[in-house]
Amino acid sequence: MSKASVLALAQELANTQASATNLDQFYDDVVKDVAQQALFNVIEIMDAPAGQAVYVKPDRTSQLLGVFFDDTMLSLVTLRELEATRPQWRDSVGRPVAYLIEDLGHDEFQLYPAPVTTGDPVVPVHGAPFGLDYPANTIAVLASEIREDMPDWLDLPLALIVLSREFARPSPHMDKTFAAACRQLGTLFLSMVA
Amino acid sequence: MTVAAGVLVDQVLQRVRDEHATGTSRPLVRDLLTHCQRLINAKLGLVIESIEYETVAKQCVYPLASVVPRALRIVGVQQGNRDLVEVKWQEFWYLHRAWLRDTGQRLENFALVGRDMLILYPAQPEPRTVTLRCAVTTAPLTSDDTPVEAPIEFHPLLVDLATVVGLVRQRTYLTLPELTESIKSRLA
Repeated sequence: MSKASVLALAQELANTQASATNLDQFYDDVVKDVAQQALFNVIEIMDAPAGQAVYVKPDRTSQLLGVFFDDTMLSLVTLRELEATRPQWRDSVGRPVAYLIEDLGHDEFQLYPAPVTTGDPVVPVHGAPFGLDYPANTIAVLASEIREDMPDWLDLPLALIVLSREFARPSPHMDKTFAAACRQLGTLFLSMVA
Repeated sequence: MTVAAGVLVDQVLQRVRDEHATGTSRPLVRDLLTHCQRLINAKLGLVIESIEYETVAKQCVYPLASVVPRALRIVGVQQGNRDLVEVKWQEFWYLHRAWLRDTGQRLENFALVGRDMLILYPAQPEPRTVTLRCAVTTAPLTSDDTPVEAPIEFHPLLVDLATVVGLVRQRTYLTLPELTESIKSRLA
């Protein structure tokens, strides 16, 4: 499985005409794009210090699918909704009921209101962080995961999409028709698993 | 009735007009058939395994890779002789905003978040055994004698998928639109 097998398959399908360096780079780009489709996801617990409203998503995650505070799934709200509800919303502290991603860095989200108490630490007594060990008043984030090593059942669609990019770029071996055919097939195959 | 991979390899080579495998090797065609068989199984759930799994007390979220490493997708979950109802995971929010920590006397629903996260709702106070019915990763077709696991009625689709990739590799596009449309209609 993994990047090596995708790149080997891509070279085989390209009759070894593709640039190995570019295939490598395009693979990294494609897995980031695939992460947007939320095929692979993670849920992670984050520290929640009292009074802190803005948080950074966990590493290697892309699309934010859900945010939990303690046991409650928070609503995604817009800046306009918050301003309409309470103009001084940025100063609010209490038990978070919503989160916001507008007007923040691409990897940030903001809780409303900011937590009034610091969340309990994760103490791995039972080895079940989302079971008996789940800490009180903490944040859990559900997000799509950017994986470098995809499962091997994705090798063919990934190889085709990588090839479509390699043969669409200006180069001595540029072939727009081949690139379009690879893109069409790669997209079709990816839709079979998405 | 089982069909050996070699039979399908011959069909693909014939359709890409390379019967003697001069431009497209037999191992490459077997490799393409291996990938296509897995994609078909991910889409249609043809090769299924039932796996007994013990849930964790008070937990409803399970990463699938650690539960069933070979799973392509979950097609059903049973507790005893009862089927859990599949729902979209986003619907739990409407049911109860604290669904992540809800506990109940018996499991009612399951949901998938993407391909690799399983939610069993509500969490149980004690560990329970469930049966996961999974479409699994089919074995690689390593030789012409390896049996094809997909049912025989899906072999034409499998051959078409491998053929279309073979034709693109040869940069032969004449029959491509027709073949692709035919594949799409059968997958719909």
